[in-house]
Amino acid sequence: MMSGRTFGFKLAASFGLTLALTLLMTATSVLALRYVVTTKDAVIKEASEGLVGATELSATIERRISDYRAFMLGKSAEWLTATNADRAEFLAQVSALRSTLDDDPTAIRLLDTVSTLEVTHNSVVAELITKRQNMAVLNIDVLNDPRAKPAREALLGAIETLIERVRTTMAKTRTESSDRAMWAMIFIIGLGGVLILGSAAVAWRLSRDLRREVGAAVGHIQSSSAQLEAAAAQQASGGRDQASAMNEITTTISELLITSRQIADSCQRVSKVAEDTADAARTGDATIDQTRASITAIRTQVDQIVQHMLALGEKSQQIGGVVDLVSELAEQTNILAINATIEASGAGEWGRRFAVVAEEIRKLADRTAGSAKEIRAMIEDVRGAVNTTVMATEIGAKAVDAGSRQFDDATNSFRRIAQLVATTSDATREIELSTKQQSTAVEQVSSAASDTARASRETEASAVQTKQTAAHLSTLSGDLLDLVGTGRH
Amino acid sequence: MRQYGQLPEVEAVMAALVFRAGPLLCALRLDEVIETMRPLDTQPLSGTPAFVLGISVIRGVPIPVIDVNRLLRGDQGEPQRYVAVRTERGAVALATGEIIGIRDVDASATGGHPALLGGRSSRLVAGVGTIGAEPLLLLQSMRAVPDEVWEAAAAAVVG
Repeated sequence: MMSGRTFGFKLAASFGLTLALTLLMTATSVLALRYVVTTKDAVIKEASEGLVGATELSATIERRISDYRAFMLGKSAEWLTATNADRAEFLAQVSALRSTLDDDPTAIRLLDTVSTLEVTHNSVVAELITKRQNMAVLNIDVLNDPRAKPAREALLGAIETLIERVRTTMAKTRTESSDRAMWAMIFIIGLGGVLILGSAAVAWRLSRDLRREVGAAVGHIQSSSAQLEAAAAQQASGGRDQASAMNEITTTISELLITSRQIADSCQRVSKVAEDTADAARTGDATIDQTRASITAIRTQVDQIVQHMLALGEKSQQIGGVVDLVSELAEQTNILAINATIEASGAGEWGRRFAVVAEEIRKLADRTAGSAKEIRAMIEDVRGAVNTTVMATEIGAKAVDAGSRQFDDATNSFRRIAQLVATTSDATREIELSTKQQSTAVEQVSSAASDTARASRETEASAVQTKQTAAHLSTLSGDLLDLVGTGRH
Repeated sequence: MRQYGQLPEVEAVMAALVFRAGPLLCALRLDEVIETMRPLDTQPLSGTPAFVLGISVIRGVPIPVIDVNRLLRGDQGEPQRYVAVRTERGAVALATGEIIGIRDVDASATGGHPALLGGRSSRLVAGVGTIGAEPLLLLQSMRAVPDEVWEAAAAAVVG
């Protein structure tokens, strides 16, 4: 029923059960004691009221008899009043005793007998008192009534009987009360034994559960403590290694920080150089524009030269055409002159003269042809020179074009260089900024690494503390196992 | 050389048309020459020797054209002039180089040297003279054209 409950619950339940049994025993003891007290109270009541009342009846009747006798002797009203008061007191005591002895019929009957006998005795006494009051001088004989003594003895005997009855009843009641008290004691002792047995069972059960459950738990705690101690030792070792590594990292980060600052300084210098280069590039850009204008002017001049040379070539060709025509005419003239000479050779003397003229014409034609040939050669030379010049000029123009293109390329390259320099400058600034940010980050990392190193040292210290605590816990577990009776594992 | 208005000193001196055939100086008797002219369109003739360039129409008459340079030297050059000459079987055009002019040529000095006038050339070269330091070959055109050339020219004209 208790399986699966926690040990605290079991402990609380055990204490609750023990407490309940204790309360039960206490209540039972209280009841038994109350019972005993009630019984004893009844005995005491009976003793104090019944026996005392009965005894007081005897004393009161004895005092009345004494007061009656004193009146008889001295006829003093004081004694008469006293004897009357004694009788009233006796009657009151009888009445009180009757209420006390109302649970004992025998005693009530004896008390009724006492009352009856007292009435009888009182009647005798009353007659005698009356006689005495009427008697001036004491006369014993007159007052000696033979009924008085039997009535008195009967009354005293009845009272004694009543006293004996009350005493007997009280003794009986006392005995019963003692027996009840004994039984109550036995009951309480028995209940105490049951309580002790229950408590012992609970203690045994708790001890068994304590040994079994707490022992197992403590065993686990002990093994866990050993594992925790080993882990703490490893953690301490790891913490030391980590602290050492973090110190190395901190040193490396410090060197990295120095390097980053050097890089930032270098970037700043590079940025300055790049800005100077950009200024020089802007200055060179103006020079490039001027040079471009000069090249354009040279190109225009070269084009004009080419045009002029081409015009000169065309003129030379036209002159050549004229010279060709002259040469053609000279050749025709030469042929005609030769043919004329041939014809003239067969014409006799006249023909011979004509032949002379024809020969002269042929010579003129030859000279003309020679001159035309020379002119042709000159023209060819001129055309060659023109062609050479045109070619040279075209080559120059092409060179100018190529130079212009190369200059454009150079300009583009120069502008590209300027852009790259600007880009380099921007990149250098970014690198500088990034390096500064990196320096800041490295400083933060260095601080974090220092914190981590300190945390590692604290971890190592904590691990050592944990190891000591685990060892202490293991010792405590062993002690606890000894305490619960399981023994050391 | 002979001058106009002067009598010939010997019979061997005669007026001749001097021209070049390649590097050679050649001369034709002036009475054999009809006229000189620029080269005309020439149609080649099959079945003729290699020195016959073909046939040209000169003044309405088809006449064969002989390359003198190839005939004398075996070389082939670009003719500069045609010289029309008279032969026994009709006019013949000689493709020559430059026309030097009309000169009086003395062809008797060398006579008929066997080394120069032997073989096929003996039918063409009548004599050898000089002009200055250069030799001068005096040609006789009537023997220059073989019969098959005339036949081919005639066939071409008929065809």
